[in-house]
Amino acid sequence: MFLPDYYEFCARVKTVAGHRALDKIPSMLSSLGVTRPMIITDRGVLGAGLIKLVSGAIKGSKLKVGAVYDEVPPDSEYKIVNTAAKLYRAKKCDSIIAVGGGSVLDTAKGVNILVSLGGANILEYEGAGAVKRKLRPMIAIPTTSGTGSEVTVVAVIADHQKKVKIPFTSYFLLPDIALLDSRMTKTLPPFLTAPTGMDAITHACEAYYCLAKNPLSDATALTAIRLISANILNVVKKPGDLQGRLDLANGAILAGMAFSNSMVGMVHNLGHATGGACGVPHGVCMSLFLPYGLEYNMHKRAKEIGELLFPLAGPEVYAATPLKQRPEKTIEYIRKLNQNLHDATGGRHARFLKEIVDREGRQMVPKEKLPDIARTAQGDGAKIYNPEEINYDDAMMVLEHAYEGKPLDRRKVRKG
Amino acid sequence: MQSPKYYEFLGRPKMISGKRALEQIPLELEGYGAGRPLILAQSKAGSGGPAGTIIRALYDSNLVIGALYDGAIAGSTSGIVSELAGLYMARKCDSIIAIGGGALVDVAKCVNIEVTVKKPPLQLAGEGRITRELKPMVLVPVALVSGNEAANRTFIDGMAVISDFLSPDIVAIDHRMTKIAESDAMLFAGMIALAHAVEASISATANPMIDAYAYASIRLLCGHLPAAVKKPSNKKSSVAVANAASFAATAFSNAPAGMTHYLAEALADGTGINPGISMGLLVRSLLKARMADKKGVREELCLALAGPELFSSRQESARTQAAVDALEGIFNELGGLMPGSLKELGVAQDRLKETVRAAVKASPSKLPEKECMDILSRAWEGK
Amino acid sequence: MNYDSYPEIKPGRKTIKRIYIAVMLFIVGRAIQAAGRMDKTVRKEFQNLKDDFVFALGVHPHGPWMVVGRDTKGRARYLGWNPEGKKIPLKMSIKNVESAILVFTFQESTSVAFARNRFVVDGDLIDALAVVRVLDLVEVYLLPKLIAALAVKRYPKWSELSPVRKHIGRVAIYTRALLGF
Repeated sequence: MFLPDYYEFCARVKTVAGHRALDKIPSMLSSLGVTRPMIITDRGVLGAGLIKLVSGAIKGSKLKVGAVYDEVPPDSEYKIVNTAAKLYRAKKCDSIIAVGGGSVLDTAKGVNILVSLGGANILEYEGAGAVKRKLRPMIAIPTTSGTGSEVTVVAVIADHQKKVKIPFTSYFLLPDIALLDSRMTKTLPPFLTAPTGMDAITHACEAYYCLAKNPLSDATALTAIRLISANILNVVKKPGDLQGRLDLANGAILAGMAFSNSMVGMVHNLGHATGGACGVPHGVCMSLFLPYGLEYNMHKRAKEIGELLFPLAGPEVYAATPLKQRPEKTIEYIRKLNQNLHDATGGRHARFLKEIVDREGRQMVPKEKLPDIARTAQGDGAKIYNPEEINYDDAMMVLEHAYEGKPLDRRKVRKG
Repeated sequence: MQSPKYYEFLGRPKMISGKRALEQIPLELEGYGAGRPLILAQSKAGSGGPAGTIIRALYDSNLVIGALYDGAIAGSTSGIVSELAGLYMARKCDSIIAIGGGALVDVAKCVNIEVTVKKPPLQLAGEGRITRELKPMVLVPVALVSGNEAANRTFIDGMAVISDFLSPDIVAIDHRMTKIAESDAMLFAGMIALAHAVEASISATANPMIDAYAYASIRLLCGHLPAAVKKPSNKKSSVAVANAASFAATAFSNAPAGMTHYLAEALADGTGINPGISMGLLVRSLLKARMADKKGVREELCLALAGPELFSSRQESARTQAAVDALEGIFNELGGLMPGSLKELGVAQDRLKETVRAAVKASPSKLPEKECMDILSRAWEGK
Repeated sequence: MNYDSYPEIKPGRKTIKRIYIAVMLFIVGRAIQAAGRMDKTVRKEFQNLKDDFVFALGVHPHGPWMVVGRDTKGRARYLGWNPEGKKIPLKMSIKNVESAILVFTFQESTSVAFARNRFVVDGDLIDALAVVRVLDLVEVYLLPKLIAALAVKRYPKWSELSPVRKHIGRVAIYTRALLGF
C-alpha cells in the first residue's frame, strides 16, 4: 500500500446509512443539542415527496422545523446562500438539515458559514482556510449518489455574473452527520442516476491518481469503485432496487471521503470549467471527461490507473489482463461503461461534449465555446493536484478530442 | 460486496502523517482557538527524547507550552490523573498533546475528561456517558501498544470509559517520534492493530467504511510490520505501523471488541503476557480455524490480507487460503522475534479453561464458549 | 506533584532558517518584478489581474513576507517585506517555517506543497493560480534546470522557452533583481 512522505486525511462525519436511516434524525439532532433545524432543499426534492419523508421521521419528536428553504436552483449561487441565511436568522433556527444533491448541500454549507460566523455576504469567506471554527450542527441527506458533498471539506458556489465557480474550503465545512437512506435516491430517474454514479466513480479514480493520494484515500476509493461499478448499470435498469441504491449511496460517500482528502485533477478542472461556461450539470462533465483524464496522465500514473481495473472490473478480469495492458483496459472499461449507460438510458447519458443537450434539446456546448472553457479552466484549482501540468493549449487539445468523443491522441500530450 | 441494512460509522481523528507533521500542530490547534497545550511525553533517558523534539518542533509559532510533563507514568490511575488535571488548571491550559502510547494516552484522555466535565473520570466509566466535545487533543504516536490510543476509549483504575468524544481530534505521526519505539513495543502495537482490524472486519457490524479502514491498516502491516520490528529506527516502516495502528483503532471504535480481544485480555490478567502477542497468535488461529471449518472468511478480509494481486490470481475457493498464507508470511518474516505459540510463552495448558471463562465473563455480548476454547487451544499449540 | 518542576515553556525562534527564507523571498520578489519587464508571459499574467492587485507570500505567523503588487500600468512591482498596513487582497501563507524550508529548498514543488496542504490561501483562488504560474516561471529563470525541474511539474520545452531566451532572461532578471530596477 502506497504511503506518501506526507499526507493529511480528515473525514470527521458520522455516517448513518440504511434503508430506514431517516428515523434516526431526532436522536442524532438531540445528541448535538439542538431542536430547531432549518431544512434547505430544492423544488425537485420537494416535488418528489422526499421532504414529507423527512418531516414524517421528525414528527412526534421534540424537534420543530424552524423554516424550510426550498428554492435552491440546480446550479446554486452566492445570492441564494445570502438569502437563505437571512431566513435562518429571521426564524431563529439553530441547525441545518440539507436535503438534496450537490447544489443543495453546497448551498447549505455556505449558509452555515454565514449563520455561524456572521456577515451578510458569503463571498467574504472565499479561499482556503478562511473558515476557522466549528459551525452550527448540520445533517446532510443526499438525494443523489454522486457528489459526495456530504463528506467533503469544500463547498463550490457559483458567481453567475463572473461565470466562475468559487470553492470554499475548510475542515469545518464537514457536516456533523451524513445520513444515507435508500428511499431518498429511489425516485432518481435513470438518466440522472447514470451521471451521478459516474461522478462518484470519477471522484474515486481521480483521488487514486492525483497528487495528494494516501492510504485512506486509496482504501476508500477502491471500496467506492467496487460498490458503484457492481451496481450502477443494474440500478439504472431497475431504479427500484433498494439494496443497489444503498450500495451506490455508500459508494458515493466513500468516493467523497477519498477525493475530499486526495483532491482531484484534470477531469474536475475541465468539468468545473464546462459547468461554469456552459451550465452543463457536474455529473455529465465528470463521466465524459474521465477517460481523458486517465489518458492524459497515463505517462505519469500508469501503475495506479492499471490498479483501478481491479475494483472496476473485478478479480477475474484483472487477473486475466497482463500487467502492461491494465491501464489501457481500465480506460476501455470506463468508455464501455459510459456506452452501456448511454444505451440503458435511451441515449440520454452523454458520451462526449457534442452530445450534451438541454431540456429543449439544444446543444449545450457549441464548438466555439471550447476556448472559453479552456480559459476558465486555467482559473480552477483542481489543476494544481493533477499529476501533469495543464496549460491553456493542453486543455484545448483535450477538449477538442472530448468534443468529438475521439480517444486522446497520446502523442499530443506534452510530458513533463 | 454488499452494504449492510443499517450501520453507523465515525472516523474522528484527523490524520497528519509524515515529514514535518509535528510542525503542523500549532496551526491545527489554532483552528480550534487553542494555543496553550499541556504536553504529556513518554519519558526517555538520555538525549533524543521526545520532550526536546517537540519543543523544537513548536518553535516560531504563537503557541505557548503550558506545561510539559515527562515523568514516569506507570498506569492510568485516579491519582496521577487528578494531579495532572491540577497542573492543567494551574497553568490555564486549553488543549492536550500526548506523545507516546499505552497508559500515557489513557491518562491524557482522563485528564481531558476531568478538566472539561469537571468530574472524576471514574464516575463516567461505561459507554456513552460523555455527552459533549472535550478540549482539543492531539495524539503523537510512538508505539500504540494498547490499541486504544487512537480509538474512542480510555481506562482509569482498570475501568473503561467509552465515547466518540474520546477519539483524539488529531493524530500527528512523525518519524522523529515513531523511531524511538523499542522493537518489542513495535511488535505489540502491530499485532494489536492486526487483530483489531481483522476482528472489526469479521464482526457483525462490518460495513464498507470499516472494510476500507481495515484494508488500509492490514495492507500497511503486511508491507511494513516485520521491517519495523527488526529496525524501529527505519523511518518509513515505523511511520507505516503507526498509521496502521491508527486506522485499526478507528475500525475497532466502530465494532464491538471480539473474541481474540477478550481472550488476550483475560490471558494478560492471569499470566502477564502482553495482550498484543497473544492477540496476534489468537487471530492467526482464528483465521485458520475458520478456514478449516469451510465457513471461510469474508471476501473483504481475504482481499485485505492477500492484496489485490494475490487475491485475484486465485480461484474463489482458494482465496481464504491465500489470506492465511499472507498472514503466515508476516509471522515467518518476523521469525524468532514473534513467539510461535502460547505454550512457548510458558502458559500452562490448564490455564486455558479459566481464561475462556474470564473472557466470556468480561465480554458484554455473548461469546461462543466452544469456539473460544478451540481457538485458544490452537493458539496454545501454535496452529 | 511539584508543579514548579514542569514550568511553562515559550518556544523560541529558528533564526537562521528565517533569514534564509527572508533572503529567498527578497530575491524572488524582486525577480518577479524583473520578470514582469523581461518575460511576456509574466507580463501578461499581471496585466490580466485587477488594478489594485497586491499579494503577500510568507510564513505563518511571524513571517518573513514578501509583498508584490501591480502598478497602474499593469506592471509587477516588489513592495517590500512588510505586509502590515497594506491592503492585501491575496495572502498566501505557508503554515510554518519548516514547511517553508521544504518549499524554498525545492524539496517540495509548489503543487506538491499545495497537495500537502502546506499553504493557506486567503483571497481569490483564480488570482492565486496566476501567482503560482508566475512563481513557476520565475523559478525556471532563477534556477539551474536540474533544480527547477524538481520545482515545477513540466519544465518548458525548447519550443516554449528557448535556451537563448532563458539565459538572456536569467542574466537580466538576476541583474535587475539584485540592483532593484
